[in-house]
Amino acid sequence: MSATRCGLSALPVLPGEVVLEAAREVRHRGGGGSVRGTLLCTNVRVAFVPGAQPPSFSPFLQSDYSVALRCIRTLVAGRGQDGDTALTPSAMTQGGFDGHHLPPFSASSFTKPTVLTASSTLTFIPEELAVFCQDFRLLRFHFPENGLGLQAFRVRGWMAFEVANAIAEARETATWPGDSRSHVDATMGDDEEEGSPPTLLFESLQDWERELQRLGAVGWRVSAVNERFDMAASLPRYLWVPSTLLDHDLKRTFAHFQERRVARLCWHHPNGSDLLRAAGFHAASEPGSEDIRCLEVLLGAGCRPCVLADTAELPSPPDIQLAHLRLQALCLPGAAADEKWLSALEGTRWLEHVRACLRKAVEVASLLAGKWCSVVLQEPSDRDLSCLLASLVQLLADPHARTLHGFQSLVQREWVAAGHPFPQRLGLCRDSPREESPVFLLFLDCTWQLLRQFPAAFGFTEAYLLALHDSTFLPYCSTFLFSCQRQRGRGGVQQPRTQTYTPVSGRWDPSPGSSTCRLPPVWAWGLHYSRQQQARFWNPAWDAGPVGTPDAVDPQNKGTPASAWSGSSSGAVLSLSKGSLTPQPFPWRSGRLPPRLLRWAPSLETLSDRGGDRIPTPPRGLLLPCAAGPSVRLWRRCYLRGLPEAQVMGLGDSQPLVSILIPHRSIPTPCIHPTPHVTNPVPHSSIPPQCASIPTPCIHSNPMYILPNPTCPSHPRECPSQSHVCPSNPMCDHPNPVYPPIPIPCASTSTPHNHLFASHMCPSNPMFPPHPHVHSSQPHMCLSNPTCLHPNPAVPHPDPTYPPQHGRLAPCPALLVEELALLQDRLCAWQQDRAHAEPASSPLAPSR
Amino acid sequence: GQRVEYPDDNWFSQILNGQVGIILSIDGTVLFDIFLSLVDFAVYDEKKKLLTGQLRKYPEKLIIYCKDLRVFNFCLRYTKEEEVKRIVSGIIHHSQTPKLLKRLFLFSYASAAPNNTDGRNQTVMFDTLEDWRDELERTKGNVQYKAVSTNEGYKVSEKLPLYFVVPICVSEESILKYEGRGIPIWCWSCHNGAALLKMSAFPKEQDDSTSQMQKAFLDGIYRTIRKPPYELLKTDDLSSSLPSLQEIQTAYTRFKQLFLIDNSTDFWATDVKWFSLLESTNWLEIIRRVLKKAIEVVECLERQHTNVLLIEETATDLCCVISSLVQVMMDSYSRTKLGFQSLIQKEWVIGGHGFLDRCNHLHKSDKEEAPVFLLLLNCVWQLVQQYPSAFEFTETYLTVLSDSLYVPIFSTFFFNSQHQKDTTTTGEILKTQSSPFRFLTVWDWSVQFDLKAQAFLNNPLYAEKPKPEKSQRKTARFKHQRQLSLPLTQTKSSPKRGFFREETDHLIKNILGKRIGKFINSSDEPPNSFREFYDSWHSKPVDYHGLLLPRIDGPEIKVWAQRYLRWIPEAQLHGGGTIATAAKILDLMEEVQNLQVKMDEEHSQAVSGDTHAVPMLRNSARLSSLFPFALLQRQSIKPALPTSTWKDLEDEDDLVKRDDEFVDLSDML
Repeated sequence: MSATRCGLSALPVLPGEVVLEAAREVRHRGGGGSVRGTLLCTNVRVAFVPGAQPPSFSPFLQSDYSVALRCIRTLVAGRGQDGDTALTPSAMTQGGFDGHHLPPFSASSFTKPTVLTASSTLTFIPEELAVFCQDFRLLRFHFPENGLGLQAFRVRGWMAFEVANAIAEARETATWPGDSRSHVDATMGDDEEEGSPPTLLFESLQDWERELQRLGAVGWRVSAVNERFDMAASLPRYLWVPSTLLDHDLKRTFAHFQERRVARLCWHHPNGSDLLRAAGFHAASEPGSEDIRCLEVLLGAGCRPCVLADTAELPSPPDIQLAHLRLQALCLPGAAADEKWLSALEGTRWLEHVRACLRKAVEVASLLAGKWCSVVLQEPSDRDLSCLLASLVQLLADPHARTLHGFQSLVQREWVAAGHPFPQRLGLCRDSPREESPVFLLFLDCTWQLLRQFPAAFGFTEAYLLALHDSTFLPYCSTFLFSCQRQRGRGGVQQPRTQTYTPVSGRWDPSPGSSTCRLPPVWAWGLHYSRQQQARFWNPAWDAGPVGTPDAVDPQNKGTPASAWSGSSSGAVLSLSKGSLTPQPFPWRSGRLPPRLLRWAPSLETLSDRGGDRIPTPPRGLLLPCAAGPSVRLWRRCYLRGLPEAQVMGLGDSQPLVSILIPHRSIPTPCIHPTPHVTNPVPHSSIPPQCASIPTPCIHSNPMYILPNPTCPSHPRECPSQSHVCPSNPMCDHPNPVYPPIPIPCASTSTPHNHLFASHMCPSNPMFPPHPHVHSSQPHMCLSNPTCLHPNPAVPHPDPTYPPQHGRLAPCPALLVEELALLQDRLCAWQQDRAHAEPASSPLAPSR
Repeated sequence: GQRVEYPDDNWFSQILNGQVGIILSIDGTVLFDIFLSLVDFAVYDEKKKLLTGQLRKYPEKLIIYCKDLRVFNFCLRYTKEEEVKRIVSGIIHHSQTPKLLKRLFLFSYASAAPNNTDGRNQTVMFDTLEDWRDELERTKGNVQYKAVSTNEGYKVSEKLPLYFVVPICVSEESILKYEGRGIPIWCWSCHNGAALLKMSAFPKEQDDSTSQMQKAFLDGIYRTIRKPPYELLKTDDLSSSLPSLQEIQTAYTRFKQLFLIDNSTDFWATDVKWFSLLESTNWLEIIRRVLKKAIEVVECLERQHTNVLLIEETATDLCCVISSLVQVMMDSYSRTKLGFQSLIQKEWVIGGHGFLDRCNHLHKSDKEEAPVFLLLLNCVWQLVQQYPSAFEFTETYLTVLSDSLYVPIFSTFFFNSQHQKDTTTTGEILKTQSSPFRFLTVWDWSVQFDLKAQAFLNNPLYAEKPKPEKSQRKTARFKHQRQLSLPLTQTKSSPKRGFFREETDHLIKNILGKRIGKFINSSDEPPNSFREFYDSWHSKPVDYHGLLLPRIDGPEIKVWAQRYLRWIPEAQLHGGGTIATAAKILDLMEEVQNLQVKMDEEHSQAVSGDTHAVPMLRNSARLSSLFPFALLQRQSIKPALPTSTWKDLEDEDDLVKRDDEFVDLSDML
């Protein structure tokens, strides 16, 4: 059965994707009602296409209704109960619900739950199908029977039966997606801004060079010694190693680490301390004296104290898996009584693991930033918690890692390139022995804790983390499909392939001739998220102020390494455990150093703890999260999504600003937003020409401009850093030289903002400095699109023009930003006007 | 990691003039001050013995725990003995021993305070008949209810306010008959005409005939108010359906202990078992039960159009909590600052909540003490954090309001009833012949905070206009599910079988496998109108200006972190917390306003002086999450009440003389 045969042209089918079964007239039960549509099972996913709304179906691969087969944890079929009155036509018409949004089902409609597997046979015709997902979603589909003839009932019943079985079977037999060689030809997210740093994939030499340059790590170089993966199979092609160590010498060291995963640089603090990661020392190796020299050069021992931080205090992957399963069980509806919720949560130990990771990361980051130590993260395998710890430390210490692209590059480098075994850990491959453990999801949770505690320090939002969380299971994104670079490139040519991920002409363009995996990276957000949703990845509250390079010299701790460390210990090798340092010789030097305890622990506290009367403020750019019980929370929006009672649709926790902008998942909104650039290209000529060059008011009031036509060359689309600037401002590189001098209000004249634009010119004012808030690469988060504030498509905004309130400020900070920008524009125009009127008078001094 | 202050000769130089508070200063610079009324309890020495009247020797170390959860460590080792004597005895005397109402600092302050308040306070005080009539009119309750002045001169009861509202059909005689008991008193009318009433119950009588008469009287009352035009009546005896005051007090005492941290060790010790400790205090569960009760009442009023009559023995404790909560949920006016203040005034201050006893201001009897008002604030906070845009005030407002409960310069929370306030003050005036007391009301925030600080009380994201707002609700109505106990076992170091822990297989096979269907299975519970109402409301979009129901499920009831964690440095985040975004919003708003002003100026061709107010939080990212409360933060909110006032007070001899007789320390030793 093909998609077209079913008349399902709205469903974008992946190459190689086959629709196995389809059932019509299925209701998806979400909060607030249910949506009618068609349920499809392909060999990749289960998708639900809302019927009767063909024009608004999402062109994106992932919608809130579809779930990758691999992401399905359990399928449960159930049978409806007789006398279920909630679905009678009278009930449907009551209460003002329209045809598509039916009133909620009564609770008594699910009986005889049966868990479906490929081998199980259904002995009854299922009326309801519940899909429990690994990503904590719970999708429920109902195959209705009421008010319809017996014949139709049978057909539908059969459909339900077939679909349920097909899903169960397809789940077991889902193929390794990498084999499909399918090439997804889809429009990429063209949100990549000119000039903004792209996401580095770390597959090419340039990426490694570029990043090393950004870090300013003098004394380190990129080594291509592992280019053919012959030194260490699971390591990336390129490694950062000390410049003083020649490749010849470097090769000596591989054998002394487990899995030959040699120590290499992760991050370099501007003050000169380095973060390295390595596998455990190989137990059986007995390095000769020359090897020892090379090893010690590699580990950077000698010039600075070198701290070996192992992962013994962190949970092991099996621990994480167990805690995650418990958490999943707890987050099932009704798993714990309200009054026992907290202790049940404690019993999962998930938050305990989160806290352990945060605590350790704080210790390591403090060592790097405050103590001038070099830290070597050592995990026996170097493929699980080292990834987590290395990334967390960088999130704490490096403001660049807290930008969206910086974060993506970080994940690429410390997880994807470093060889975290994603297929095994996420349970994507169903071969034995199964070694599932959601270490990466634990990392995302830790990141969310940081984001919650420091809402202004991150360039991305909770929505972004959620999107990444869900995308982890996507079968058509290559990022999380392989366990190392070697596997990724296997079967393909053995040459460095893709460059940094930069979309060419708005499309994902894999390098021609390469036969390696052609699936797009997960970072191509345009594939599975609408522009609206993507806009919410950017944090409007991001305060770029403190973000900058970390202080090279910590103002609180002035001095040099020499003063921080007495001379004798400057070359010491120490080990970090339980927050204190103990001298620990390298295994090949055992017995040489006297086991003398260094009184160091209290000084670690001074960074993260109170100390004396003055609260020591941490060095610039360094985040020191609190890992105490009251400060570490449950990631509600992620874990409680399947729990209808607990869905905080209101505004969350402690992030009023951010949470306002968070789109809520699984709202039945498969991109109701018109997407002219994909489905219905709006010719540029149809846009009133004077509008095209007034980004601000148009964006604010005219939905046409939210999705600028990429074919329109003169439209300053989404130029993130210059969205509001007067285009002829010398600071602005507006592409359109022919800027109409008089910005006449555009078509949607009903916006009350128009009065701001009276008939003033918007000329250049060199005196007017670009505004930090507007220019901080945050375009219009909220865009005044009705969907932002009114995410339900079924509830049209009462006022289509959506006037932002004027007397009182609109409750959305992004609108505030816009309002501010409008005022600035107007002020700018006014000043110019005045300057024309009285050329002799001195212009106003810049206000800031 | 302890913070220990070392007072020397200069310290405690102004010990509080007996009554005001402890002022810690070095060379005249005030480091901090503690109102003595804020002192919860104090312990001394290493063993942390409770500081009471009996002291063997003078302590070397003193830890003071305050009711606003601050903890102060003092080292007295290097202090002169007579200083210690004075301090310790002063603290004991003023924070432990019972005292007379008239000895409260409130009166000293009220007679001496400069009369600099403008009195243009818009909060409705409900001390006049007009206020009640206006309220009746506002809620359109004036058809069926009337404001009565029967209690003028307190001839009905000293516990009732001078003016109150009763159903029109209730006669004056019946009000007078049992001192106001058994009379339904109006709280609020819902838009559909259903009203919330409260009634103080008759005490349990031994005498049969008396109780028969009372029963007959009640039946008569019920009959009258069940007749049209009144709606159906549903009575709810709160003393049986809600936890007792004693339970509330116990739970709060336990809960509070989690946050009264005097050293790091304690903090990290409680940290390991944080969630189960929190659960065992039962405080959050009480909040949940109270919120649930309020939703039930709302359901009756809103959906069943039924009048609800809350019954409690005095109708001044849990009645106040429930009726205030119901109004906050149903009446968007109560979610504005003025509306909320008027509500507190109506239900609590005039309504006759016994603040004096419940807060134990006089240290007379611990039995009467119960944090009832705090319970309300905690419940309201749950609503505020679930629907921030629906409230004009912030959680900071609630926090400082909860602190104001113990600030002894405001009369608002220092009396048991309107009668007590009136009689005490008039008597005092007669006796001292001094000028009449000028009591300050706590609602005049400018007394405590300057304008900058007051900005933190207003929610910049408040959706002011009544227009439907964002936020789609969704809920499928899962009934209360059967519970499945999760294994709470700690990881036993069981022998590993392969990669997974043993329990992992069990979880995969059973709970997440075979038995998962049970979780979506319905329970056999009969449909319950409360649950239906609750679920159906949550499945619709929220109208921030309409009915607002809190979520009360397990994960949703949270700890009021700002109030309870604010003094704990271990919980501090530099550059983090809500303040990071709040400051950003304030900055933005300020900028917009500045620009607006600037443009207006330009338009009027006025010469702009380019005087821009320096945005208050320029350096917001360097603030800590505990702002504005962090103990050691320099920018922290300090009461603007100048200490010079206290110095002025000192000079007034009569005040000193009016102080309690000096307590000789030798009595204690």
